[in-house]
Amino acid sequence: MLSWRNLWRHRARSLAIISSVVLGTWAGAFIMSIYYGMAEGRVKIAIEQEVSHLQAHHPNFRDEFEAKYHFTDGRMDSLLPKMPGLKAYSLRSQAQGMLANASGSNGVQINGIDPEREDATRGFRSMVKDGGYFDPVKRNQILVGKKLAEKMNLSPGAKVVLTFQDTSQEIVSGAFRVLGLYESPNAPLDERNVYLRREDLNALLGTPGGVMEAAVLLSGEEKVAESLAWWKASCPDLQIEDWRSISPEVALVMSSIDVSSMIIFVIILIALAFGIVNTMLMAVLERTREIGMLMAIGMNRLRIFGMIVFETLLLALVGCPIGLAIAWITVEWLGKTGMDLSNIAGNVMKDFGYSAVIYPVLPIGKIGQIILLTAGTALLASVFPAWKALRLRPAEAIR
Amino acid sequence: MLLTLAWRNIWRNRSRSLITMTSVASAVLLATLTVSLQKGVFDNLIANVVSFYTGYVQVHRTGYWKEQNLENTFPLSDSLVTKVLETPGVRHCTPRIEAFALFSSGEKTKGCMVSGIAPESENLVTRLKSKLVAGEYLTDSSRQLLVGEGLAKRLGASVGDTLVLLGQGYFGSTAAGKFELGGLLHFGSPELNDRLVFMPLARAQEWLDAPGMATTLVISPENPSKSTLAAIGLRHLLPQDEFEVMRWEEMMPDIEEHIRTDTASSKIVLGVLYLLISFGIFATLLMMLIERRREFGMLVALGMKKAQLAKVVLAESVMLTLTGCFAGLLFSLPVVWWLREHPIRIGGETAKIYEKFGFEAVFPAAFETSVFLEQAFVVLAVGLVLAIYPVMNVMRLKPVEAMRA
Repeated sequence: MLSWRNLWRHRARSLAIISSVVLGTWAGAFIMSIYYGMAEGRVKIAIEQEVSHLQAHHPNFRDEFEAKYHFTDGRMDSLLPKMPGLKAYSLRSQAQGMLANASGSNGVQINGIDPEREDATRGFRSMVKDGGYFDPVKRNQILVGKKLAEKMNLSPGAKVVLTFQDTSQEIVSGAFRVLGLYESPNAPLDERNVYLRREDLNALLGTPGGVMEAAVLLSGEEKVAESLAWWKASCPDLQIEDWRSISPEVALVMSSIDVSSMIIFVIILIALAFGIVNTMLMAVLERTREIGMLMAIGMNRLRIFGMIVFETLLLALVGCPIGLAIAWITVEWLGKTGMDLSNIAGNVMKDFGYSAVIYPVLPIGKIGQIILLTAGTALLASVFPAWKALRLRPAEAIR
Repeated sequence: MLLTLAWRNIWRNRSRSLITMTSVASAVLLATLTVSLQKGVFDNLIANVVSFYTGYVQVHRTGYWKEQNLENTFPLSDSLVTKVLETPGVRHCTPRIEAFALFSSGEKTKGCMVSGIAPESENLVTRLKSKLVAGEYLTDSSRQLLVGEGLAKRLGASVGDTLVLLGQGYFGSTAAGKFELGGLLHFGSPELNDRLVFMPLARAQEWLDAPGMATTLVISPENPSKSTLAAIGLRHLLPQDEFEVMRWEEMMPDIEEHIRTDTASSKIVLGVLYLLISFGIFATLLMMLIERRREFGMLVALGMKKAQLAKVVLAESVMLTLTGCFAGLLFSLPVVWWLREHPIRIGGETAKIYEKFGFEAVFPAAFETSVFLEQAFVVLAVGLVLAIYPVMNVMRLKPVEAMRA
């Protein structure tokens, strides 16, 4: 009661503290939303353009990369269209080998794809920057990553030789003509992956209709658990994984984002605490006479302590929702328009699988956490000034 | 006269001055802390990644990086190594000859990257010995191979097995040889773990039919911050048409881009933090003005010119900001130093993910003089800009109303 009146009596001071709480809450929520936006953008690219939601392999394939660990396309073609939540799927045959031309050789992963399905699953056609996409008639065409092409001096039309092991462990080679150069959002992968038609690769491998990797894109993240379970039940002999276990690099990026956001959030809370302590301390000093008077007329120390702590808490409780509301508006607005970081970072940042535009998101679950932390900080920050007030001596203070 | 007045005002209300100073000092501390921690995370990442294999600086024959084949090798001479080692900033250097090859054990064949190394100096640069998990490390004359764990697993090979390496030698000749697997290495990065094969330099030169040649000199600087100095020195020393000197940023642009991305977002974060701390300083100034309204009103009523009063107030703010910045600078030194010596350690899920990649989830702060000075100057600038507000406030002061407050 007393606290409430005190607040109205010193409006400018109350406003200053409310504003710093507003600013602190806003800063915390806003920065969190930037980090979450970044992480979500990265995951979106990883799913939609690299790994898709789910992948199936023979349980031994990812360890040994041998052609004999395959399954057939007929089986997937009759099964996958029935999958709940399916948006698109792509079947690939794969082999590890060497890509050679006159200027040298490089170890690569060879991917045999069905061009139309690969495009439907991860938008592959639009990643081809130089040259064209697969022609339905011509055979033995190959798409090479731009980075690898630079390294090996390749351009569309160049001839290359692929060497790898077929299903009976014999070494086979095939001559291919470079159809085009592609650039995916994840540059390091471009250096190691080359793409050709699945029939062409299967003919060399001796695995007609063979599939080493089936990738499924779902209509949304929320379908992952259900579809994963469904697929596992339908194909108990295959190893079926979701994007989290297929792509640990994405998990690494996410957790490094988590670490930085945590550090920053703590620093912001400290900054907020400093702001509150300073202002409240000034308020206490200014009110030396008043507090001394209260003590002199018999208000006990505990109640004075409580009064100051309660004042701060009231201010924090007013400031917190306002700060959150402003943060919500900022995030909503920037979430629609996006924050273009390319001015600061240059265009290169997309090469690592980030998009240059960040769309901040504020997860609802975090809001409660922010409120608790901010209010907690305010409460802690009020203890020192309140304690300082306790140590005033009434007689001296009134003077 | 005005300065003396300002000086006395500061001392007259010591606790108020102290609080204002603290708010400035804490601003410096927090800004320094943020930047140092962020820099520390990156430096740690770089040190980790660079120590895997690449090193901070490499020297090759000009054109090698674009076309990595044996035509772009250089003759390795003692005089070259001595010259490189004498370059300021360089601590160690080690030669390598690198080539892609097919690696077979029994019926299985995998692609790999063969690296012929000088075992002793290689260990000084990349601490290769510490990655050994089975078997024995190489000596200059040993005939064995060291193989990445992942690669050996894929080939189903273990220590003591005989393996065949098939590649392209010097001038397109076929390089083929049988070798014994002498030891296994563990690399954090799956890409290296599944691809690398090491053998002594002389053995590799023999296998590739390239006696006395090397593709790479890997340089380790005296300390990470000297890598630029070393690279510049080497560029100066070695003729440009024969040798290219590359820094890790050029060799691993993806890592550099990752850092640049994070730097971009951290600039926004820093901007928000500046906003927060400037408001903290502003709030103390505001409180000071409220508290002293009556005093100012009285002074003006007594005949002090507003311009004079404004000068006094400005002088006070400047003095407080300056001392605050200085105090913040002094105080942040031990704090950042402590955070470098006792780094933040992250546990749980994050630690596991980092371990998978061979990093320790430890984040020591970077201790760099430039960071301290830069942040102190930023806060000083903020403080000086904010000092304009009390001046404006004084100029608008109406003495009669102010005295009634």
